[in-house]
Amino acid sequence: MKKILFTIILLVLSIQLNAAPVSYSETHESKASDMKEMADGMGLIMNGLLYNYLDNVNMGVKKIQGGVKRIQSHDLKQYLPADTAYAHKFGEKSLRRIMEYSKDVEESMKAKDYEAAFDSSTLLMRQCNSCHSRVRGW
Amino acid sequence: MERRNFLKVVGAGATMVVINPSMISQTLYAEDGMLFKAYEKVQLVDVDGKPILASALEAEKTYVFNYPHMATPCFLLNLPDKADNEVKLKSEDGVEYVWSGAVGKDQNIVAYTAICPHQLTHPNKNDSFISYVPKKMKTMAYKEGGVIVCGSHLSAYNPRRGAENLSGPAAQPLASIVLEHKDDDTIWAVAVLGQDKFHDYFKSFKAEFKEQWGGKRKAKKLVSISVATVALTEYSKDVIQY
Repeated sequence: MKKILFTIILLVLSIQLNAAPVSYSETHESKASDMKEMADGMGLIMNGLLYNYLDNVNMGVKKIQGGVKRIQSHDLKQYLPADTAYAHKFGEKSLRRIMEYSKDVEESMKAKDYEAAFDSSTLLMRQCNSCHSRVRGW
Repeated sequence: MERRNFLKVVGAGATMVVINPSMISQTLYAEDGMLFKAYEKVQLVDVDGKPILASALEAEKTYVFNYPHMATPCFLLNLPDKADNEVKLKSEDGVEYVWSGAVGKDQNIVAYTAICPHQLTHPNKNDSFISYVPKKMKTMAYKEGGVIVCGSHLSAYNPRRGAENLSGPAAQPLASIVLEHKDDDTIWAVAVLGQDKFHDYFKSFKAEFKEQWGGKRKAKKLVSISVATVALTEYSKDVIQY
């Protein structure tokens, strides 16, 4: 009986020890995936406006908005790198601004005001860089 | 009007504009590098419309009023020490100007636009990432307190010296608000000195202007006669300092 109990305890411990790095890896991957999706979205917007592929602009907007919503579903204190976790309120505000600017791009596209869409996409890019430079300590 | 008189009037007008171009734009780019724009003189009052008195301002408390536009916030500060006089400053495009000093009995009352020239961080009704950090408090942006700090990218400005930029990525001082202190202890805002970022600011926050001011046009309206002055903690729900 003791042997069985000992084996079960060993098994449970081993599973938990193995599970921890997997969980970290998934979180890390999901963060990278969120950022990649937003970067892809930004690329589509730029590509669409530069080369007149207007559908790309709208696709880009959707990707960015999807990324923002996913990040907003997390506690930003946990999401940000440990050394910049204190700036979570700044990160939250950056996400709100990114959402606002992406909506501005969307509305300008609907109104066929492409110059305004360009202006808003510039603000959108600036807001992304604003947060990245803070998090990276540039 | 006779042709000769008409020509005299046009000629005299043109000569005056050549001598003093500010007659057109009210913006002075004097040879000595001064950058100055006059607006309507408005009195600082509290929310009930009573005049703000210089002697009643709490030391090191951050007050906010909107000037010269309805949606351009400015800080009003009663500093713990006398401010410097005749401080030479430079805008990011290299234009030099001179900040002449503070007002008040102890020459320690100053006002600056609360719009960070780096990336236009400013207080709104929800939050403020820019504020004055009192002398005894610590900040990540500078080695000591007694400075205005933009928490977005940690720029620090010296309010005793025309909001000269001390550290961080900002490339120029905060624009200052020229104040007048009258014999009856009232305070008036009369002009903006230094390079403001109002043009970029009004292009950048469309959604915010719509939500808080009913649109960009209303936000851009110039203030007139008097302007309410409140504590930053009343102006913004959340004041974030780093």
